[in-house]
Amino acid sequence: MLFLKECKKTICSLTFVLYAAVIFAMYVSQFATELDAPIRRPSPENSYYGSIEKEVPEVLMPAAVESLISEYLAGSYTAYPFMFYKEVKLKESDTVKIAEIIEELTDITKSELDHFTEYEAGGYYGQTDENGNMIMAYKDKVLPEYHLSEDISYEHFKELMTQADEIIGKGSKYSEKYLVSNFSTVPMTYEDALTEYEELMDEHNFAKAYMRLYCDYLGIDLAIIPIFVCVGLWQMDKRSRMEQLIYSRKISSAKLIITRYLALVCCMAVPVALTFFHVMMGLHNLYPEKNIYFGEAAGLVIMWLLPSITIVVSVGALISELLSPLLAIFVQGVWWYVALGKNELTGSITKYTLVIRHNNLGKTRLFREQFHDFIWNRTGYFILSIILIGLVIFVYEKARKGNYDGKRNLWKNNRRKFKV
Amino acid sequence: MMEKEIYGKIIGVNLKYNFLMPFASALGVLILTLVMFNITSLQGIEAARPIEFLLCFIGVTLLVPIFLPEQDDNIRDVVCSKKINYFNILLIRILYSVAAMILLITFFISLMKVCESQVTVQHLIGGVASAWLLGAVGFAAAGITNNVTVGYMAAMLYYLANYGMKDKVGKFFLFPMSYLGRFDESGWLIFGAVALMAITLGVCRKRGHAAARFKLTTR
Repeated sequence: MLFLKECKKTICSLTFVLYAAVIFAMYVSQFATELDAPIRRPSPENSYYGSIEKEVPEVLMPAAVESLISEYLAGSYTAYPFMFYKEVKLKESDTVKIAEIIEELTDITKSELDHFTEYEAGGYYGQTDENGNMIMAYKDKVLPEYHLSEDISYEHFKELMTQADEIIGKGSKYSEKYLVSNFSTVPMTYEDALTEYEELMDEHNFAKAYMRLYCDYLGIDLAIIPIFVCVGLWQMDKRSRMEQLIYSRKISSAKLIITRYLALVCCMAVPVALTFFHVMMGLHNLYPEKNIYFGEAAGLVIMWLLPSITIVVSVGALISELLSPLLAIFVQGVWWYVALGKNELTGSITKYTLVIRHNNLGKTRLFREQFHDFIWNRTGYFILSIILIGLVIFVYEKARKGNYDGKRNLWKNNRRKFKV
Repeated sequence: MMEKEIYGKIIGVNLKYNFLMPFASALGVLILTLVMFNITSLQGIEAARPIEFLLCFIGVTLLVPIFLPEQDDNIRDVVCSKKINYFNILLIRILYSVAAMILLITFFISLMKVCESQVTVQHLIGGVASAWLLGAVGFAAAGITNNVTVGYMAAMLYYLANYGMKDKVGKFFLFPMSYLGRFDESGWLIFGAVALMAITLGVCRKRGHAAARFKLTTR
């Protein structure tokens, strides 16, 4: 009965209506177009199958060295320590170390580099034509002449790149994480494209592949938007001056908080479930000949998205109860922003990141490689959310007994206890 | 008490009880921007990124909580029962919040300048405009719905919409400097922000009159 009352309260709140609208808008604008046409089998007649990141030393080494020389001459190095662009300027001592790395990789010395004055970064730039219109033009990069050292092994090259990354300050183009994606993108062969297609269209995998992309988009919203619904609901008692009345009721704090928590989580799962069923129907229409493993797809969605909702609601409830609802929004906002900023679109699943991204229908193998971290991450957040809700019950019980009344009275209460 | 003294007291009390937390949050946003973005030796579009992508949340942290004290109905009743119009109190809060927003953004831009980034007055105006519009969206939602949480949510949704839809948002795009390299669209953003705040104040004033009439008739 109480559960239904809490559900009604949640669904009738303006924040929940906005939440549902955001989920549907995200689904329609970002994911729904994937259900317009089936994925086609690659044909051997195609001239281009897209590109693939593949560790090919013959491609990677020259490209990375060219970039390092270019950045040395420009005097600044690009890095993404938080995924956001950073232009790093090095101290003289660090510049010398970079020059030493270049010297080891090529036949060019520091003095030759420093005396080269014709350097041009190249790339596209804007210029005006004879009619005064702005047009884009391309300029080649101008670098000194150099040759890659033939004695250098690929393993040693990677060690030197790691050194360069450490000098620049991590997250540079030369870090182990970004080296292949930055410098070794090669065109896909027909065989590569066929392998990827077959992996994707595997009976057990194909619905999950769509679900991964679906969860990727919805996961972004679910790591922040539930905080508003939670905070809005959590402060409703206070706003409607019902707090003291509820405190005096017979119901236990644990029952009240758990019911409220479950109502919030269940209600917020409803728009997700509706869009999930829409995807399932879409897939059934798109691939009528295929057997869709509904349970496996649903399992993946629950595993991926449910911990996002539970952890956000737990954090919101705890901070609202302990300190202030607005602080809860601030903390969650910062956490979300940092988590999103640190992520790449695909392939950066770690044990701790709040927002899990896999913005690709393919790359099944990459997801399988990271599956262990994925399970660890989601299970960890789910357990953490249960612990946090336990803390909420504890704080609520204290408040109910008059031992805790928000941050302003915390000190006062402590002082009173100390005197006693 | 003289009217001047009353207003002085109102400003003092509001600064003491209703401004410190939002200002601390705004400082938090400023520090977070410094941690997450490089501000050294940036030029043009690159220099606009930290200002538009994260620093703009200063507007949200300062302008949305303007309605916060009256979220408690007891405080609302006390404020509305006083001789000084609630509308005037809102104006006072807006003035010092906007001043603090401009001050913090100016401080950040100066810091960028010290760190040898090539920032100009256009960066400053653009930064203020983005922060003001984002804050005004939250301010309007909070004022019209009488719910500060909805205000924060609306601001976040507007930010996400801009992030996803990019320049399709039109003249009120939050990141014109970073994405389009346009440094001359701040006027539209400021116009949008001022218009939103004026509409919200209008709604609040009307609601205030209606509440006052209701009180008179029920007495």
